[in-house]
Amino acid sequence: MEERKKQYELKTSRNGLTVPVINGIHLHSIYNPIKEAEAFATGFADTLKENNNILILGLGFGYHVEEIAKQLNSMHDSYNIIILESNQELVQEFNKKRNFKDKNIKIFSCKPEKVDRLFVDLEFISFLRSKPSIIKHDPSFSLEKKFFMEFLKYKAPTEISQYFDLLTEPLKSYFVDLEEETITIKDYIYSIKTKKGITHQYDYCLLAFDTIINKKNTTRGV
Amino acid sequence: MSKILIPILTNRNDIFSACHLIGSIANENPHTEISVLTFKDLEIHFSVIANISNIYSIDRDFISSINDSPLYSDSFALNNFFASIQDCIDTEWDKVINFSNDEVSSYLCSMFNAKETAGTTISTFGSPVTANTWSTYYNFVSPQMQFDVISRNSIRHNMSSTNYHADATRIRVNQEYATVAASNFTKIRKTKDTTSNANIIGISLKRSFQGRMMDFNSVVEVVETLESSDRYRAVLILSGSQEEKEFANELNYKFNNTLISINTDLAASPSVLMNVDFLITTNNEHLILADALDTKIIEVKPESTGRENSSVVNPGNFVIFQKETTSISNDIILMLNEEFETELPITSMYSDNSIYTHIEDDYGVSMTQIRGDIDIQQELRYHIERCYHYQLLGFPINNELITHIRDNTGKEELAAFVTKSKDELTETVKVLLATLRSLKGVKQSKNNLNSFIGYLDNLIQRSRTDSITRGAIAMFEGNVENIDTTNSEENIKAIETFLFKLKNDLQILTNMLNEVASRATTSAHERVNEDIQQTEA
Repeated sequence: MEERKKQYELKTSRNGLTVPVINGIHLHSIYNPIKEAEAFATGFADTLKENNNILILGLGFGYHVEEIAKQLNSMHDSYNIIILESNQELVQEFNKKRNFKDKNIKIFSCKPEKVDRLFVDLEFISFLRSKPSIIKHDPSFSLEKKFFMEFLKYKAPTEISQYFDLLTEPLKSYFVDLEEETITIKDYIYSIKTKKGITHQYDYCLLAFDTIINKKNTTRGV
Repeated sequence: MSKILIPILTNRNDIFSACHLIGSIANENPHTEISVLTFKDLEIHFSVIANISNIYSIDRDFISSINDSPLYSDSFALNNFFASIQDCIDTEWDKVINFSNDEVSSYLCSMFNAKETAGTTISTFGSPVTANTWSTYYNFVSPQMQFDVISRNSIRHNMSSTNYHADATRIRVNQEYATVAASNFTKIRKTKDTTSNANIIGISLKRSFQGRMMDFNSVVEVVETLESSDRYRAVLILSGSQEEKEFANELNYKFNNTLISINTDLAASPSVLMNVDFLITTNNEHLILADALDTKIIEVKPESTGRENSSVVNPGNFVIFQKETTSISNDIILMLNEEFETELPITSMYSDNSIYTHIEDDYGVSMTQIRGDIDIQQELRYHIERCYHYQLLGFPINNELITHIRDNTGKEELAAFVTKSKDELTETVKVLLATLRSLKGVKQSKNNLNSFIGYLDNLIQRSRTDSITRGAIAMFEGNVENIDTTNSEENIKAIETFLFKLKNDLQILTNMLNEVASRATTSAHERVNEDIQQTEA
């Protein structure tokens, strides 16, 4: 982090726009960032036509994002863009100097080692559930490859104890004995069906929950 | 004010059909607050059902998609699910009704805080527990039937100890739409040259719940006949799908764009359906709404391979079981002629299809065949089995029905039916007696327990066969499942009691078959003499 800070600078392109340079890598064209962004967005025309939800990996200084938004606006009645960026300093600088006027664009930022934080944000999850198309901003991606790869390969923890803190209070009380255990919800439900039996009101709820997630709600007698 | 919760977590058919029970409850006790629990994606369908105070919903799409993806923590699905039912958990209900008898409803009904629960719940051992004999019937007998001999509506009303109120308000009608529709339909009635009051025949182009659609050629023939008459006007009713629009366009093209079609969303549907004089439709929401609004119906069951359940509740309606490639236009026109006393042209009096009408008897509404080739054995089976099942549920025998069957069925047909039924009965009695003998063995030595369980299982398996005894055996199974003791001796004793109850129930069937058989073994001449003697006596 310290090293990157040292090598962070802002240059001005020939047509007068700000271009961040990190570790010697220019995040946009030093000649004409807008023209470059237009070409970038045009390269994804088919993707943008098919999907109005776009996840962009890398903020840069937002030129490519604005161009993608412009194209989406011409193709769809509504659209959503979320940008993922790990460089907090860059995000702060961007917010100070430019920022997006378009309310359909949002930046999600977290430290590289805290990718899991993204997946506790309901807004972010809700966006991912809309199955967005992913567009990579290459200069940003190559700079933060580890972060983006971790994001792309992320898998949520499956043991109840690992997500215990995220549960609501009634569920915490119900699962209190499992706070230190290494058991998944699937295994816990299986134990209700086989060994443990139904001993708590919420056990019934979990059995109903299990039937819903397995899409096996039989109506031919129970 | 009492509070009732009705979870309906299955499908559109169940949701719309629930309007009858909900209407009856509201009619019986106007101060009852009725709430429903459903899935979020089904919630919209409740918008036309009257008497509902609260709708709780579970977002199954969210829960499933969160669970299916390795990206998201299960905590979100769990939090969401529990939050959506938390109000239902926290409320003290006077009554909870497991209306749709599905697995999710049964689990949830087992844990809600209710003074009374109607239907099936799940015990702490994981086995089904039924609240009364009707609940036992619903959970154990109904699933074994290819088609219901007792209508779902009757079962659900009886199960929840509610009388059926035919006069109840069941559907929510938007007054604004109703005013517009009434005015438009008055105009439509005047569009024929010779009358200012043409009969309006609605034709719903919506697919059935099972995904079947009316065949194009039959609809063309019906529309052609209706439109060429001075007395009728056909109105096509659509619910907005592209497929329906294409169907209507193609149809309209054939009639030089002179047909009237109404594209209606769910909220406006009741206003349209209450204004047609007769509705021709598949088993879809138009059918259930029209029936609940007392509009007469001809239900079409396309590509029917046999008898199926009908969602119609009111008597006086019709069902056409359409053979794969056969036209139904003559059948429809004939029924309209009879209903409206008209003389629309019919090309043939014979029909390859089977047409039934809903009639009301001492038990409730049943279906009886009025046209097409009759499968006597199937019809006998339906009526006898229906009468028998009502007796299993504590009703008296319908002597009128038995007499009617005796007097109106050919001797050979009756003999064939009785012989087959008695064979099935004998087979079941044999298994029952073997089970009882085996039970004696258990009393002598616990080593015989496994053998007894084997016999018991054999007996219960007979409820999964097509035997006429399946109802009694399935009721027995339900009774056994309801045994709540963990003491093995008490358990055996309870099973013994239910085995003897089954023996009695089979005796009822024997008596019924003997009643029917008395006709089968008597010649026509002898029967006349019998009748004379009875009259003289």
